[in-house]
Amino acid sequence: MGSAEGVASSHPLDRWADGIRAGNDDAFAAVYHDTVGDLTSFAFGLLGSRGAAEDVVQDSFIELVRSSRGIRGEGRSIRVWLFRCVRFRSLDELRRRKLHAIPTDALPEIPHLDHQLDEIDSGLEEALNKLSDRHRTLLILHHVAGLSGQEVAEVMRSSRGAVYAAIARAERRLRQLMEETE
Amino acid sequence: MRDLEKLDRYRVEVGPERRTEDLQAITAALSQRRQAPRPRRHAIRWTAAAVALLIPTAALAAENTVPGDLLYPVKTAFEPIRMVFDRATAASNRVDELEKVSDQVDDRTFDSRLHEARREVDRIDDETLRRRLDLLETERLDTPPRAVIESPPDSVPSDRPDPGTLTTNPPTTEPVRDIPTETIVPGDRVED
Repeated sequence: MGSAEGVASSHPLDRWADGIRAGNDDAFAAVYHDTVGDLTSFAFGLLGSRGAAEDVVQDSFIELVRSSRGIRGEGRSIRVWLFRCVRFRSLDELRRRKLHAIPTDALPEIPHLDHQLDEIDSGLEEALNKLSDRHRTLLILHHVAGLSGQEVAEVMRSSRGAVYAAIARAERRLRQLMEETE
Repeated sequence: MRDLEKLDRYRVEVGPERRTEDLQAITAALSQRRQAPRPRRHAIRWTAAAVALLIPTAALAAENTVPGDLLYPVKTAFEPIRMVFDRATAASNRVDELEKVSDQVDDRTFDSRLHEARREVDRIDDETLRRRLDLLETERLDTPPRAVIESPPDSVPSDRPDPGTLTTNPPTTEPVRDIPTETIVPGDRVED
């Protein structure tokens, strides 16, 4: 959860940027190992399902392979590109779920298969689900995936000031909702 | 802040099996990318250049067209763009067109074109163009109604001349004896 705040002139992924554009296997492997944990955590926070989160991340890397020739900038841009890709794919997945939702009372009771969710406070989960998509995304990017305010601003295509203000509002709202559910 | 620390529980670590699976998928996608032909950038550039050249050429070629011409729709399609810079062009075009076609169209078409031209001229309030339209309208009123040749009938009576070869001579039931030589269409037979 390192939130290095400054807009550093060099990024650990900078050395791989050209390799990514050229389609180099080593470059992709290095970027994958460096970002997969943060990306999967972000997707898991949005989707609440580990399997779906891992699929979204894999799809995003495949998308990176197809689009990397056109990606400009250095390592930081590639990281931001991946987070944006995971964000949109997760939102698409959520939309798909809503479209094909089956009333829960029509389903038989089945044991929870995602053990990770058992560890998550049900109050927290419920409160997070009550947040708007944007607030939930901001909190998970900042507190779970560990992105700095500047990085969150780049992923959300917003100004840093606006992002900080929105994160503060989302935190207040989450606390309020958690108090209500307790 | 302690409440927010609970968010840490959403933090997941990706196991080695999943990493291997993901890397295999990435490698497969990379080898597919290497085999796929690179987008033909030159072809794209040449096509873009050709289109960029074709559009102004078509616009230029359509400049002097009148309603009914093949490229006339191109002219009217470009007019809204040109009107942003020069509204007078549209009005002037309408008057020019009407002058060119006024003796070739029937009264109804003439009235419709005149109405359209007047609307454009009123927009820019141009007195010269207005006078040209007035003149056209006066000339039209002074001219006796034209006999507009409709499409030829299915069967032409054998004792009448072919409507397609009608000249300014009024149609007559009498056999035409003195036909000026310049109106004879090649292939016609002049009967005595």
